[in-house]
Amino acid sequence: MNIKVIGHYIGKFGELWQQGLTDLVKEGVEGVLADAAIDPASIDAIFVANKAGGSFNEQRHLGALVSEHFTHLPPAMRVEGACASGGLAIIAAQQALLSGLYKTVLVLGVEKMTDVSSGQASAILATAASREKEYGSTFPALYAVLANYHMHRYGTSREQLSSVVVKNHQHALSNPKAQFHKEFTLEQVSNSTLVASPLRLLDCSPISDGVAAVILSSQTSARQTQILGFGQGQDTLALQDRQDLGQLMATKKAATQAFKMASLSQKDIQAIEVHDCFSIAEILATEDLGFFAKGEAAKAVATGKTTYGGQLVVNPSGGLKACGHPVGATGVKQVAFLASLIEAGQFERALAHNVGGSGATAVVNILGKSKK
Amino acid sequence: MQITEAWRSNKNWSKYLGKRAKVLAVSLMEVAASEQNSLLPYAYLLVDLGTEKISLMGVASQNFAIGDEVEIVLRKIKKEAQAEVIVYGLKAEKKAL
Repeated sequence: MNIKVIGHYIGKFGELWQQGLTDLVKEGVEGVLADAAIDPASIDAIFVANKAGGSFNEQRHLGALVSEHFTHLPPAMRVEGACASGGLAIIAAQQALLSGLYKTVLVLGVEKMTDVSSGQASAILATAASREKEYGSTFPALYAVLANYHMHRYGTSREQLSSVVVKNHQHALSNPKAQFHKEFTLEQVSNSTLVASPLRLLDCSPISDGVAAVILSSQTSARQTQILGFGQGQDTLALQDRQDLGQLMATKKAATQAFKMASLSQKDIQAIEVHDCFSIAEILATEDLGFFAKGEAAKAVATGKTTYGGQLVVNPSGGLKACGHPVGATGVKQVAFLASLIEAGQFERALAHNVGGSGATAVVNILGKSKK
Repeated sequence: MQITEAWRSNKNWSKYLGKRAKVLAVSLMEVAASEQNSLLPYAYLLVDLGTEKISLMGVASQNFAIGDEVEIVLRKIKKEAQAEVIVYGLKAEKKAL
């Protein structure tokens, strides 16, 4: 596969009161074009990742909103798959490039979430769950059910959940775009306000505004990051219809496809950005992606195997937990961030893992340093 | 839940009412969506009926744990009334002979 990341940009994540949805789009387009240093007219098409601009911002025509930043008005479409919208948009862009229809495309992920109350934001986010089968739940509740099951079946402890949070907040300290630059102790996480047992406030990713963008191209480029493989998996929307609550099957399917396409295995990967919307989600992800056996990931985090100097670096950006989670931007940010680390020479190969809902959709992209 | 969804779900209640189930996973909710705020704290459960699994809220003032036996009952699942209720009722329709 010959698709390169020829430009990437991540805006500051956080509560960006001075920027609306349109401002974020403009920042993303200008930022990624500047990084790519290409003629804007070479963008053949645009894929916009956004979960709920219609509900958060009363804007339901995001393709056109991005396209109008180009004088040649390239064809644009919005891709939506809940929190996996970013990963899905990247896959859609890659499929378009592989078809030969386009040569260079822009993928822009954006979400402006803080113009509504936190109660409204929670209600909007909950629309990614089954409306008929999961009444009375919230997203923390669904992941709390998964955490409760994992703790009961595999002995995962409260302290091990907290160790995910502590690590990701440490990683975010070196990421200037991260929403939080604040360290926490295990005790602070374990004693933070209960949201949905066993998950506490500091187990949960925040509500964020933000934009991220990448330019992908099948053309020759001096840029060093290449897409080596990708995959997408689906599972039932409602937890109650899953065969096994101890794993996210969609993640397993997506990883299997991506590793097969890349002709690589887990031992070839040095860094991963995984979808840690809650602390338990990172543990599930690293197990279901095949980096740790079932029941072993939590111990690995607690013993330092998932940070610098360990077995592999998990969420070097700080993850959703500390970098922030502007939903539609997250999957694009993961790829953009890993591309920057590969270009900086920190890693040779890396993996991005993006999840929608409580695991109904999962996307995996594997990136590597191109030979030339 | 929109009121129309509530109306549609009514027809399935008889399938579950009085059935016994085993708790597979549980969370005690301290933060909820606005429709359930007045019911906090409450348990959110995933239970196994033997033939299928369902998710639902636990009744007030009970503690639940994995493995508990429960019975499906009819209780309020939100306090606030919806402002505009779409009322279903009986009407006559002329059918082709």
